[in-house]
Amino acid sequence: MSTQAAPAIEARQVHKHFGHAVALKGVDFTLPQGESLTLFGPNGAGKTTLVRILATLARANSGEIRLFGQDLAEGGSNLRRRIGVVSHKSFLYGALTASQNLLFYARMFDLADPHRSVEEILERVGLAHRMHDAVGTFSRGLEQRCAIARALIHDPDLLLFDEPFTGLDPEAADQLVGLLHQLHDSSRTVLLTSHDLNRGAEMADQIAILASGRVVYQARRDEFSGADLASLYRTATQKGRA
Amino acid sequence: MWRKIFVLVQKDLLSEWTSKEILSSTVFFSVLVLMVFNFGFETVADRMAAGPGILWTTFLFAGILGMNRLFLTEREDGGIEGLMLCPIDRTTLYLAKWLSLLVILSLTEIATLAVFILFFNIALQGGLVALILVIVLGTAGLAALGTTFAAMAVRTRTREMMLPMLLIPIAVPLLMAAVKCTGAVLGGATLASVSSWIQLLIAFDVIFLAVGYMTFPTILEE
Repeated sequence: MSTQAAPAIEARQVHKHFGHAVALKGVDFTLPQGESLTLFGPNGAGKTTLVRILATLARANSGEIRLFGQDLAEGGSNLRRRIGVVSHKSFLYGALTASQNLLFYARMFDLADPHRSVEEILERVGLAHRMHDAVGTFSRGLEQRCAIARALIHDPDLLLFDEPFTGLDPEAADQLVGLLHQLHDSSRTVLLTSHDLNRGAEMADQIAILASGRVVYQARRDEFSGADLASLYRTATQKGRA
Repeated sequence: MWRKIFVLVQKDLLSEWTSKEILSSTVFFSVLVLMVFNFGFETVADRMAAGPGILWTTFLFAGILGMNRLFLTEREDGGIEGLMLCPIDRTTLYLAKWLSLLVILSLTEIATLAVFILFFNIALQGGLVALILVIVLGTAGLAALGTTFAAMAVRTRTREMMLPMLLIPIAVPLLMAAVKCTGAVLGGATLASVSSWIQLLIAFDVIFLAVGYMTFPTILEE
């Protein structure tokens, strides 16, 4: 990746409130293209709100966000072509089969050969054998794999994962980690939010800690050891609350 | 834009064809309501005077059921957010949802109308085309309102109550016009005799389609 390339994400003083409840109080961070960042934080810290804003699902009340150098507020549907989102909701329709769901999204993203794209992505996430089964019959782990296929089908440059391990059993979580490692190796930019300190840190180039609506800590992976992470997290979240 | 609308409507109808969740409940509900009205008005001398009101009351309540279900399906697995992540203008989503709702309500109304004709022993006297026109105009307006308000209501905990509370007061002019026009057609009169009510139906459709089209992106994001 060229050093001249604009950062994948550049957030400056992002504020968001819901009525009187303040979710984000001036979030600042930068994520270069091709890197991965795991965002930790306690419940209510604003992680999901931040991901929703980056995904264009919600608007910030103030502040500036640029994705790949383009203003998020103006980028609209063009930027959405470059973003893939996986959250604890699958964004899939239970009554439709895996292939029908993915074919729908492939057409929405104007893919040249939607059927071929669906077959390839299902093969990649290990769901080819279940492509004709209704998503409503899937276990949580299979549904999450299908959700990843949905997020990847248009080959996005930026992947946003909002607590993707929620509700997964350890085996399904390990499979998801394997998939995430593959994605990280593919030079995509990845932002992941998680409560799971070990899993989250394992696959990140950078970590950041969000507490009370602010980024209170950000460091590269080589700047801390795994053993320090829990105490680092405790200190940072206490500092955020203070 | 129209190609995307086609893909979205096709997805909604395929989902409904597979699950039959909406149509099974709206049609069954309509038949039950007509059955209750049929028994309730059995001893009334001029049942036909109440017929148009009964028909549109049934359309309205079955429609509300369908509107809630259509958006709940999107809400349950975050489907509406999946749609918002697609590279399309969010006004396109409004038109697609309006069209899907229009098709689903129309299918419900075809079944309802057949049962209504049977229960109330209606002879259409060649007014079928006029009746279809009135129903299409009325349903287009109901779907325009329903798409806007169901998208709002589905985010609340009291969605089953919220949608009728938002929709019914605003739908009153549309219902009045639809009942007047239906009464005229069933009574053997031409639509020309109720042209002012037809104009009201058309104006209602245009205004609330425009309002929904303009406000839908904000409703989705907030």
